[in-house]
Amino acid sequence: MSATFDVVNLGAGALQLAPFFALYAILTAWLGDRSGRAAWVLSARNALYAVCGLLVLASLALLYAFLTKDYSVFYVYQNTRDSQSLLYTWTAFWGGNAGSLLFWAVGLSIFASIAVTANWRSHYRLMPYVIVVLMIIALFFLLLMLFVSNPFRRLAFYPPDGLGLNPLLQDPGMAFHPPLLLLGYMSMSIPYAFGMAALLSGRLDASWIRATRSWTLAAWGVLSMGLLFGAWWAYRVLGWGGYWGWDPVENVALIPWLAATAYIHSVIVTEKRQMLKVWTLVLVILSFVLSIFGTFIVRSGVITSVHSFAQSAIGPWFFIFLGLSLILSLFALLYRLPHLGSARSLDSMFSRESGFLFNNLLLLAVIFATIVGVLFPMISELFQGVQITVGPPFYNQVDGPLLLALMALMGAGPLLPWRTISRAQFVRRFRWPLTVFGAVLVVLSFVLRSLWPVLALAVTSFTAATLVQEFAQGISARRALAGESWWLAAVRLVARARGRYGGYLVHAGLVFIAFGIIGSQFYSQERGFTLAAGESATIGRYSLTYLRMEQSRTIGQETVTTRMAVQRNGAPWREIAPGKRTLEGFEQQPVSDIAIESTLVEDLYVVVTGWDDNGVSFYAFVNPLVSWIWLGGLVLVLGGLIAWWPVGHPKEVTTRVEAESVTPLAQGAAHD
Amino acid sequence: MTKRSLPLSNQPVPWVTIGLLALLILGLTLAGVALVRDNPEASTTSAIVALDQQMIRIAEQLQCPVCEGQSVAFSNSQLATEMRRTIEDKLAEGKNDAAIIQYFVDRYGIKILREPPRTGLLAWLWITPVLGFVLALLGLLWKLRQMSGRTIVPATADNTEETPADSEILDPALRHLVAQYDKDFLG
Repeated sequence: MSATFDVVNLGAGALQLAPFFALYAILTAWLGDRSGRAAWVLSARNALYAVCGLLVLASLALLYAFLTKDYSVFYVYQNTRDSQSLLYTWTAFWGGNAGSLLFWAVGLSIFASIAVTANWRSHYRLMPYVIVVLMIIALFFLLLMLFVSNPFRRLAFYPPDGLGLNPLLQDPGMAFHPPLLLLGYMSMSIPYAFGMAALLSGRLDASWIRATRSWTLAAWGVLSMGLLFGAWWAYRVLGWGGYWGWDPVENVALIPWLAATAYIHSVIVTEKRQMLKVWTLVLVILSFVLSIFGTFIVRSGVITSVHSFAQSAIGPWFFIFLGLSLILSLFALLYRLPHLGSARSLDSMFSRESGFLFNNLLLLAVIFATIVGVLFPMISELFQGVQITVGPPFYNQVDGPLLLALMALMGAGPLLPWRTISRAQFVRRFRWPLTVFGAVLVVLSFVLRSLWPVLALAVTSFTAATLVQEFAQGISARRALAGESWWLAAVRLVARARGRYGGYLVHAGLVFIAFGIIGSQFYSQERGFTLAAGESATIGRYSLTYLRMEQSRTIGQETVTTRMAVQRNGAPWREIAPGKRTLEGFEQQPVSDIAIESTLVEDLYVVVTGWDDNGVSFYAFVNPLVSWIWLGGLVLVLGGLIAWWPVGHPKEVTTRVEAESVTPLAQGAAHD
Repeated sequence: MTKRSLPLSNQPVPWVTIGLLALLILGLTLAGVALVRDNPEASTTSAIVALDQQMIRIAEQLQCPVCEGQSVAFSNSQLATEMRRTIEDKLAEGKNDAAIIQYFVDRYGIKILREPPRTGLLAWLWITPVLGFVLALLGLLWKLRQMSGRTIVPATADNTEETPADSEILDPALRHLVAQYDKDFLG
């Protein structure tokens, strides 16, 4: 027992020590750069490593407290209990406020160490300010833990058992969703630190752009996975047949992702055409501020929602930090504004540059509308005293058309050349995608007879056709010139221009996801039934027969399972077993074991709602094309990974050099 | 018009095949959607109580008061279950949708509505995003006009990037070949 106490105290001590190192790093890095003392900057770097070491130590101590179930630690008492499985004792680490703050801080310090080490030589002149910015963020989280929400807070007594983690969170989806979201949020700090370092130091050459680009892509990828796991969890656990409820907590996770998406597109223009530097910096700042906003909304409990299980008094702290970082960042930007002029101007409204600008406009419009939706209930309560709910209908009506416009632009953008497009180019590049668009529009108008889904499907098909054309064109060009086989040409095409074709794969993933959303949004069927044993009910082409009910009991949980036989198109198909699980300590909060039978065409989704002597009550949903969302998610993450993959091996280095030397050549030609 | 579309081999790019292929994939996907839609309405055998579609339609417009983020229609909570029963009872009494929704608004306030009414100051919930978008759009268009006015060398089809099959996808040696080809055949 005494050994346990020592470990926890060790963690608490490490947490108390870390802010001093962070403060030291901030001061020495700043002063070291001002006075030109390289040794001071080096010392600041070592202090940053020390902060990282101390936070890793503190995290290990907390994990130890969890695994030894030391309930004298309040946070452990709150989030686990004897009967909780090992997996969810691990994931309880970030299940509450204090632990998720520690997770944020330790993740940030590890990423900071990696970023500083990896970029020390290549971006040496930015480093002091990168350290300053990252350590200020770390300091904020450290102070928050020490003064408001300390994970190592002890109870005055030793409780015999803990309270346990909310049963909704005891699901594989929840094991991945929160840490990935938090990781995504925190990794937005790194590109922000590089952008701010460029502004603070006044070194505004191309150096910061290269560093921020790959880190934002990484953060974007992690956030994407976080969002996908969140949707997957909601679909499998919450039992309302959907995967995205426009819940405030989901919304605040989506908006930094949208901001990062806008950045990833605008930075292409900055890199290729030396334009939009200010705008790109604004987007870097926005992505970070919105990440903090997301953490703030989730962690402060300002808005109660399905996900906001944890609430505490950290709201005002976050609010001040959020305001300060926004104001100071914009101030730094305005201060350096005269040095951020564009080297070039825009030639035409119909060019890839302006395509990217319209993409940014639409993404920002979605962000703005979503923030309005999230904050409006608060505003209306504050100023009018009227409590309102802003639910899915608002977002579907406002964000829906904007997202559809983005999908259309995703189809048009890759077809637009840089600078301007001629009539001949337009015909040559757009004819096939537009033909597909027209054909789908006409055919479906006769089949489906409703405006929005038909339009959405036609637009998505247009984008799909663009992608097919881009890949086909690239592959056949390689084949024609090098005589490569289809496979080799395809692989080399992607490998030689990862940014471009990785990006197209992300687009392809989004096309799949869009098909899934359109199918399930417009064509899902839902019905509720109460059946006695032996009776059957029909939904879509499925017929469900209730067979019997089974009960089982294992350590810490009680399960009720109903057995149902499913017929599809009149022929026996599968047997399903939807039910309910009650976890020890949460008797009032049973969790549904939802039966989901997936095919590429549709999902059969059955949720048991209750039972009595007369039989069992349940909901059955038929959700078309939902599998395409998960499939598209895989493609999207793969594409993101390819686009991000560092150009490392010696063979690839030559390609990169070549790619860079091409730009001036093309420009030279352009000015002839 | 198509002479510059890089016919570098004897095999022309099989656009027709590609277009048809894309159409085929889409057609198959869409057939799935259409198929689901064309199914007969859900039916039940005699002894079964099927919950009314009308009830679900009403319940979907109401926010479950105890489990925020979910509608009354599919929430697991006790209260939502009771509310669904109330809706069924009222439907049986012959009340229409609007009257039933009004009944819940009277009891719980407009917070119960998933879509707030568009009256008075609440209308700003819709106006703000639309206004923001329109202003930003006008701003961008104005900026684009302003920027394109500054052009010194007007961009034409001749000095813009050629096909996408250029520098980015080809090896240096191949790119050289393409350049040579362009020079020889296109002057």
